[in-house]
Amino acid sequence: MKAHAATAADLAPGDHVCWRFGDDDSHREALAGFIDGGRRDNYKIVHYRADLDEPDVPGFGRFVSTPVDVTRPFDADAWIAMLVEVVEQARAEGFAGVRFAGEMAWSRGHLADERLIAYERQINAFYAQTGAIGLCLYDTRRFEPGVLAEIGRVHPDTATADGDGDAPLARLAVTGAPLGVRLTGEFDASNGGCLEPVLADLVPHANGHPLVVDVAALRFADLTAVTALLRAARTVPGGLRILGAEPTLERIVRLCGPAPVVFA
Amino acid sequence: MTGSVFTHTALLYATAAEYLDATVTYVRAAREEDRPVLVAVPGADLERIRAGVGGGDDDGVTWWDAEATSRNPGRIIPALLDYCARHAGRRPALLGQPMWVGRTGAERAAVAVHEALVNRAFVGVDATALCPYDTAGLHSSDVAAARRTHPSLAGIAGLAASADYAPDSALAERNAPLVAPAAATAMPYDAIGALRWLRRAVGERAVAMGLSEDRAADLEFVVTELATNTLRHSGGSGVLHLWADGDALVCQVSDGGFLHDPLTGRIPVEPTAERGRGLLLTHQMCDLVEVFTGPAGTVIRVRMGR
Repeated sequence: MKAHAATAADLAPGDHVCWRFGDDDSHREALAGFIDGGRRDNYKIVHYRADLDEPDVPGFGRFVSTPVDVTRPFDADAWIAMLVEVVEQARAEGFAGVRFAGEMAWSRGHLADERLIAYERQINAFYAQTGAIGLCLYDTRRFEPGVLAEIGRVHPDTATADGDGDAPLARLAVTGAPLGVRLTGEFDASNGGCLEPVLADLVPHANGHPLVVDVAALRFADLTAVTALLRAARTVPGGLRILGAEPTLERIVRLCGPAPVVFA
Repeated sequence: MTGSVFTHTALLYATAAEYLDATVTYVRAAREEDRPVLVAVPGADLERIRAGVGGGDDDGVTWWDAEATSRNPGRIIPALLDYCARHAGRRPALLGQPMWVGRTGAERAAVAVHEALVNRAFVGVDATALCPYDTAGLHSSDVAAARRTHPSLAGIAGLAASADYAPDSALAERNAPLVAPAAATAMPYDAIGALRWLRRAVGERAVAMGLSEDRAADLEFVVTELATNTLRHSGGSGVLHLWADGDALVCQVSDGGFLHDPLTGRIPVEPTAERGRGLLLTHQMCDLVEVFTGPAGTVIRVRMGR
């Protein structure tokens, strides 16, 4: 998507966007838009800063800016558990949800590239489940292009200055009853890595029922995305129930061979 | 059991009577040995063979209309291998006719490639295959190709080894450059962020040309897979060309990769395998797939009609 204030403001519940910027002005613009959208939609905004010396962004009641503690080793599971608590507490305080803005430069010198990529991959399940909104701010001056490309693949979309569209390429939302996931938009090699962790997180909770995958608003899925669905189908005892599939998706799944998948 | 070696025989016939006699005899003999039979010939011939075999409903014979199942010759081998795997141990008898009068030049070359590759793909498969060729109606070059791609020939004179058998050179001759017409739309790409643009352009063009939404969506999938292969495996950039040919849309992807194994895309793979399925599905979805590959690069051309 295009990286400007309006698209940052209009992010929707569950969005998890890799936001690339190369200068301080565009960084400020993105953060300002993100905060405006949160204020408009009654969201709490939590900003994770890269270091203690960074100047505070002018705040107000719903806005919290906290430096990431880089004096201790990073534990992704504990970090995500803490984020879940932040969301629950914000809802208890009357907010509609939480918008998290992360200055990912905090990871430099603290977290190896592979672990950062694994964390970004894992956290897709958190956003899809809680409906929190994640703006992962990547300073292109601080990350290698190859690492940025890998990080992009595990986000539903990457926002850049010359990007296109006002919404992320893809969206994922975990649905409660029946348990499953709603897929929106397009999944290809540029963003497909976000799908499998979301599905894998649901598998242990299926309790013998099929996982329901609502694809009525899915415009495109490449073979990697279909493979992620088939892998999930094979690990869930009740298989997969796919709702609203276009004929092409159904054809691709069938051409891939027998799998515990029902189309409805 | 008559043996455990794969036999691949071209049936060279000149009249409808010869055709019917030889094909019906082949099917009946296999049924008498209780071998499963797969008949994949064009629809009109299918009905004639079925009538000739007689015997009412016989669940030992599977009938496929080749004009549908073999329209793209590249999808025949995986289908036959799958059939043989499902009837393993019973020496299936295959009667497959991929060539018929009216095939286009590009399709005829693809049939020869297919027939040459059958010999590699079925090594170790316990089955027989008989492939009818009409010596009176087909181009003489196609009959000559059949002699080069089939180790044995059957005809009114009986069964004999083919003196012209040379499948590798038949294959190499058909690995010819594929050049897009000058009027084609060219879309270079070098990053995964471009995939969305490539497929949207393909989808819009397909629908504008009158292809169904389904076929347009199939083509978007195919082009995305081919371009993704470029970016993942050839380590560089590629160019997509698009053009209309009659009422079909042709898409061609060129990159610096090299397809070492000519059987790529023709061997069934596990449903959740990470690699090797993109080209397999391309063959399934498109009306024709042509490949030109070498150390200097690869061109894959796919055709999608209405």
